[in-house]
Amino acid sequence: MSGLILKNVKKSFGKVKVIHGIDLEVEDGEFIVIVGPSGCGKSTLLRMIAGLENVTDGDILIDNLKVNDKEPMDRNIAMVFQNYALYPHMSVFNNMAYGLKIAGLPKSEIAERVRQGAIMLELDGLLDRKPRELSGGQKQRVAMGRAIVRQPVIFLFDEPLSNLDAKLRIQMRIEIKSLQQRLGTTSLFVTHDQIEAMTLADRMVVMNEGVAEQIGSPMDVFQKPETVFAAQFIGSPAMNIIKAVSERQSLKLVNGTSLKCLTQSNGDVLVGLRPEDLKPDKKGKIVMNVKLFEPIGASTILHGTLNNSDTKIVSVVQGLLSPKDRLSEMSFSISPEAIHLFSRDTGKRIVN
Amino acid sequence: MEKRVYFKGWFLPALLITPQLLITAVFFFYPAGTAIWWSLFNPDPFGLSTKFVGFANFDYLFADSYYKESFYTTAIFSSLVTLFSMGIALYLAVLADRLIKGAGIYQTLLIWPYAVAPAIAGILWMFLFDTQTGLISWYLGLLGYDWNHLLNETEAMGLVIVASTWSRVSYNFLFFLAGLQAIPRAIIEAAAIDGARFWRRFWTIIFPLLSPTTFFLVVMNIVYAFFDTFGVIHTITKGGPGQSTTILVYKVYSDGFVGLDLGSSAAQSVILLIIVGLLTILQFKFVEKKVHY
Ligand SMILES: Nc1ncnc2c1ncn2[C@@H]1O[C@H](COP(=O)(O)OP(=O)(O)O)[C@@H](O)[C@H]1O
Ligand SMILES: [Mg+2]
Repeated sequence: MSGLILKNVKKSFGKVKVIHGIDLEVEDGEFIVIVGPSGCGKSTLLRMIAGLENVTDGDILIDNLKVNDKEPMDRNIAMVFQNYALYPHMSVFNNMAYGLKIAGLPKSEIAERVRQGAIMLELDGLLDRKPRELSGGQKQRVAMGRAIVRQPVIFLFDEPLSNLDAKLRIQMRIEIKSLQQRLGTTSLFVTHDQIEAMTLADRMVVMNEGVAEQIGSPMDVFQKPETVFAAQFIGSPAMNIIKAVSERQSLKLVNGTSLKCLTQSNGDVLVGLRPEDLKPDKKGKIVMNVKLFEPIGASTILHGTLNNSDTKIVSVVQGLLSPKDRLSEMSFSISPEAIHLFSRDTGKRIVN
Repeated sequence: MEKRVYFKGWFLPALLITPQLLITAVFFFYPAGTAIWWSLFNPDPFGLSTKFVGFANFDYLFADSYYKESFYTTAIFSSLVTLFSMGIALYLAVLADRLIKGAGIYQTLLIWPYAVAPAIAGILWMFLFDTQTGLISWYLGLLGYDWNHLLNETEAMGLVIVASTWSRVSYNFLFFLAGLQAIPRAIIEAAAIDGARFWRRFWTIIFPLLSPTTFFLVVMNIVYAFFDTFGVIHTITKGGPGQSTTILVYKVYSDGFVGLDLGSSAAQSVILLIIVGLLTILQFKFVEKKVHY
């Protein structure tokens, strides 16, 4: 059984195509994160599922029922908005009870559900307050409370954490994850933050310009990115991409360096090297002209260029480099298994 | 955050507010002062002498059943004008707020009546309802209804209410539309997802969030109905038939300039002045307290 199915869903605003055909099958209880840069169509996709935007083409099925033409209220979903969208003139209790009152539940059940939701979200002391009397984190909790008391089939989150400060964001991220695991409700979560995506998702949809570049578990996407875009978007610092020509299990990089690799294919390729896969090695073939050392505590990020070229590369080395280790030219090696190859024409991954 | 501009010295600030102070003095303080002064005197009918009478003009007014009746007429007139012009304007604004295509044309057309001066609006409606030649009264005649606002008090009242409402809808519409567009879309979408259909959303979310605008407009419309409708009434009914459409401000005019009872007219002006003062205080109190959620 499937909670949610998208079949070749497309969206245009007038003549402008925003979503180019997305297919997705969400298992019951799954936590899906839609991640991509700002403007790539994440919100539009979520709003189509919510029924706040019309679907231009394709089908959306919830609980195996086509819902394209159904109003938001007839889809049994709940949504948490980026700006919380609380009802400013209602108390926290009434904000959470609003949907239940409309559903016509008896008063005692409304009170009970709101009470349970409030306890779950640590809002029990705040039920009489108005939204303007709450902090950002509390507003966020009320918005989530409003969603969970309705016990919907699907939760939709549209960048719910991006208005919070960094510390609170991490705390709420963990709370959302554990709440979702406890309730087991199918969830779609939109974010532009790849760390949020990595930590929350059972599976993620990496989106770029209205196209799903890759759908898979965080580890899948990280270890086997399907496209150059997915490779660079997931992981921090971003993967290095270097032009090269491949020939009989060897790669010739733009600067003339040869690397051993596993591929059988020949021709123009893009080589992807994760910064943390570059191991400092005096005899290593990859030589970097280092421009900047960026210590971030447990490790140091090195920014520079590939020698004899102007291709920018980044590497991450463990520990704080002492001044005598901070050379202006450093060599690295990489194991052949850690090399990612992409077609230079299509940007797609080349399987070994 | 409040923005404040600071000036060095007093000369420039004084220069900048002088025109406003002069206008206020010439067009408000001077006439208001004169009215208060005259309300304490009683000129003889030939204007040859005046006599100080203290509050006798007011005593006389409060005992006068015509004046009480005019109060009653004003209450009915202004509450109906306020209710209708705001109700219609709100309905149109809700429609315009939902409209995307052609919203510009729709809004422009709705704003036109506001550009028509009340007296002209009065003439326009008078022509439409003219007992001999009016288009609408002719249609009513075909339906078997004999329209004559020159004789029938209720019809006279109805007509001045319609004309006054018509010229006020635009003003209210503009404020309501601005108020509606200031409500964040996401709040309304959240209510839709919570299961509220249009009218439910309207009464539980939109209307409450619009209440600062509504309150402001109630006060503004009462003030309008009290004073600015003079032109409409003057052109359509001249306060008649009988005294049936003589609202307070019209009575000031007809007692003072037609009846030549200047003392009473001045006392009536003072009472109106007090009413406006009270409305203004109410408005300010509310603005201070309640506008922000
Ligand atoms: N109502 C709309 N009318 C026209 N264009 C829109 C509308 N909503 C979104 N867009 C466009 O669609 C694209 C995707 O927007 P959105 O889904 O909000 O992106 P994201 O949420 O990924 O930042 C953007 O280019 C945006 O300008
Ligand atoms: Mg968005």
